[in-house]
Amino acid sequence: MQLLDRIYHQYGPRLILDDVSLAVGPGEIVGLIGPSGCGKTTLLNLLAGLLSPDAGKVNTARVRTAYVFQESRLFPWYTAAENIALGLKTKQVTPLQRLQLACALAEAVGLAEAAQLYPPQLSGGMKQRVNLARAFAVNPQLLLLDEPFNSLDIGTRKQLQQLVISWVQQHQATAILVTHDLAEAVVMSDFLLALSRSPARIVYRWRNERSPHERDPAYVYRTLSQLQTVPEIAASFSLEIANLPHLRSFIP
Amino acid sequence: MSPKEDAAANSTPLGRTVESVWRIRAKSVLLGLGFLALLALIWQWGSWQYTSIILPSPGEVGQALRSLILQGRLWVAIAATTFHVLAGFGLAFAIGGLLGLAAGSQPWVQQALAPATTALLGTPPIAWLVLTMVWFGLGNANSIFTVAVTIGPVVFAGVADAVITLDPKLLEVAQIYQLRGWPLFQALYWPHLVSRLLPVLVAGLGLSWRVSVMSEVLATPTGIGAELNTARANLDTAEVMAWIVITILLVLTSDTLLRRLQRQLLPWRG
Repeated sequence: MQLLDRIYHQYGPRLILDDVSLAVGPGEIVGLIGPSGCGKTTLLNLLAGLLSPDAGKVNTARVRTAYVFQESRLFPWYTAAENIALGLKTKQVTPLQRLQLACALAEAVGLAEAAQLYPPQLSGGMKQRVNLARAFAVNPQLLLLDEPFNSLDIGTRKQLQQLVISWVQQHQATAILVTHDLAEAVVMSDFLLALSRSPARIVYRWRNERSPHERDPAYVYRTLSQLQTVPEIAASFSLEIANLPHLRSFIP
Repeated sequence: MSPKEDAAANSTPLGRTVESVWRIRAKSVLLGLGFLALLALIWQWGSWQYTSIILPSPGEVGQALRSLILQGRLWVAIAATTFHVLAGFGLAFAIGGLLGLAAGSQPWVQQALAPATTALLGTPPIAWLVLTMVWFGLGNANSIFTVAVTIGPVVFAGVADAVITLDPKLLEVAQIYQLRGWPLFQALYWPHLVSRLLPVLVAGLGLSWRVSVMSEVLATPTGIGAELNTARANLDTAEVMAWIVITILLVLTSDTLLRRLQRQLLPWRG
């Protein structure tokens, strides 16, 4: 599935995306890394149809898409279950079926007890679980994940990573994962794309040789240290440090 | 297990919290009532020191209240004041609301209306009353207009604020999940508007009662204010105070009802 075909995108006079193409297959998670502000979120917004490109083709109009935002963006007047059911409002589903499905999903993401709580009563981790379940509810073919596990503690983070991996495999969906965490990218993605500094273009592609359940910690650490020696990847992660001279002494 | 241990096992942490919440609430109600009783005592003592024209006793005011109810004058006056409030408030909501919607969605409308709104907000209601007496003579129109012109800018600012504060990020979520038309209004616009407007409504209605009674005293022949004025002219201070009590009860009732409605419509506000 060719999702993006030679995309160019500008904000005012500034070129953000420079000839970016993206092809994915079912059951795959594509990791997307790159320096802060290089245009990763712009790329997701293009895929989601929130933006349209200045040149090139986005082929997602007929693809059922769901977006898991970095901040959970829950509707404050809806309970967790009602938030999960949001995308079902436009489907041919009765309110009762909607609620049943939402409760089943709430249970699946570990929110059975909290389904009737309102967002202000939920912790950060619980909100992200709702955010994920809301996306799963529409049974998307394309799942867009914008640093979804950023502010979570390590335990919740691992749980939700596994949840996404197994969901994508089970439903043969495709996920695009934007992340700042290289370890997360190695654990989760089947393909890894590194974007350059703005204007972003794809400067490095890497294929994960192990299937998700074979990615044990030893493999992840080994791969991580190998990937860090790749100049294009090092560039995306050292950028912030290189720009702060007083931190340079901490770099080994 | 001894009975003591049994009781300890039954009192869950939640049970204990509920109990202590009740205790705190009961304490605050008792304190409030205690202070009111103290005020009544001081009032009673004061009424012994002066004639009943200056300060009638609580008993005399109660008598006056009773005869107002028995004569049926109470309900007529309340109906007239309620009519003034609702008509003025409705007018304020219609005009202020429409302009607020326009100002919220079009920045130039906001810029154009901002100075006028500030001027209206800064004008004391009594100044409007003087003008309406010249414009409309003595009648219902005075009270209705004064209420509308006082509350209108408040509603305008509230609605404009509600539109401006609609989170574009939530709109994006709605777009992703393909909410359009009625489902979009139902899921996003309506709950947001209600959550922003109900507090404005509560504050506005409280203000409306007070403005209406004031305008009735001076320029309208019907309503609680008009009755207050008649009682004053008759030097019937007990009745004056009875009308004041009625006004307070009316404002409290409408406030309590609206707050209850607010809690029911906005459960997520806790």
